[in-house]
Amino acid sequence: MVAVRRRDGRVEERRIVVDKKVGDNQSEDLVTLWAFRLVRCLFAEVARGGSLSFSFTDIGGASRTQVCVSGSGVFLGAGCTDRFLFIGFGSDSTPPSRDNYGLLGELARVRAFQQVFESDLRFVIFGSWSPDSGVSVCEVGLYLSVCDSGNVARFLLIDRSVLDSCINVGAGEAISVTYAFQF
Amino acid sequence: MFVVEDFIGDSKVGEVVKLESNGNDLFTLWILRAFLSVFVPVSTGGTVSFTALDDTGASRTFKMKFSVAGTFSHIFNTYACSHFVRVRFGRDSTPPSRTNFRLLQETYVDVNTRISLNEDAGYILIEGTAIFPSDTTVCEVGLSLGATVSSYNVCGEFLIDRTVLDPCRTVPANTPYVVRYRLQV
Repeated sequence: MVAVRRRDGRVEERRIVVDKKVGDNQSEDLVTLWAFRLVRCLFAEVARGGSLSFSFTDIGGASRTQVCVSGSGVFLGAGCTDRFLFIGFGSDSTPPSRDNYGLLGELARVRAFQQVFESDLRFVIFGSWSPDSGVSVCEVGLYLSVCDSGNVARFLLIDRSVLDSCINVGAGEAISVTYAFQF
Repeated sequence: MFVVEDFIGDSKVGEVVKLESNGNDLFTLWILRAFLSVFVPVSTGGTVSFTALDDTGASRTFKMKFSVAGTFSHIFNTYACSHFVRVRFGRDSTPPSRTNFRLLQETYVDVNTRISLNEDAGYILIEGTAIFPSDTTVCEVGLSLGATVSSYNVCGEFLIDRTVLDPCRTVPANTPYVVRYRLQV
């Protein structure tokens, strides 16, 4: 969802991602729960040197807690950089492709924040940007900062979505993007 | 889309669709990369990597499974444990629950479960086979992962899917019964 807060306080919302679902709503389905756990680890925000763990029951019935994000030189680690998410805003309206590795007309990239609702198998990522001057936003993207195998920080584009029509955002206004993952 | 298909001999009996396909987009590609890395088996001390373009367009290598000596506690650390996937077979027809951690009446585990990637079609296949010495009823199938489940050196296995077949399948003696998990972009 993209929202623009106008100078008069009005908030205009536009839902642009309607079918990014990776799971279904089978609340009792084990593989959906595991898909949530794994995708949660994939997109986890972990400060440099930090870690993330989750709990599960092994096949013998023992309760286990294990780290899924930690360490240096690994994709699921934070040894070289803050493993943070970023939202990109851009001006290009070329249809998205799985070959995209960056926004095509990137205007800004801002730190995103995440909220996780484990009981609902849902998490959201959101970011907001206030341009210094008027812009037209036609594309948004989700970036992840991660460590490559040489423990060097890299930015990866995880999603690029093009708005059905560009949004004009004036100076002093704010545009925000929310990625909602529902399993 | 996550589909469970089952076969008796060469004949497909049916399928259970677990997840919906959401198109051929970048995000879905990332989900496939992540799942492929999770499922790919690797021996103790081994590495599983994938390559992707960073935001400058340069190709980079990222390690999903790795071996780190010492006391590095990570589910994908292969330092002391091999990582694998197994298809499991059972006879209980109790509806599945997210609290299931094993099949309820397990009769067979394929320890030679195969995994393959079809890049052109954009899916991975995980295939397990059972051959029973006598006519056997199969009502539940499952998928488990072997990994480092505690600390850096406690090896274990955990169930990530339990699917109940409706109706239960009657598998003739000495006939291959194949269960195929298909994860498709």
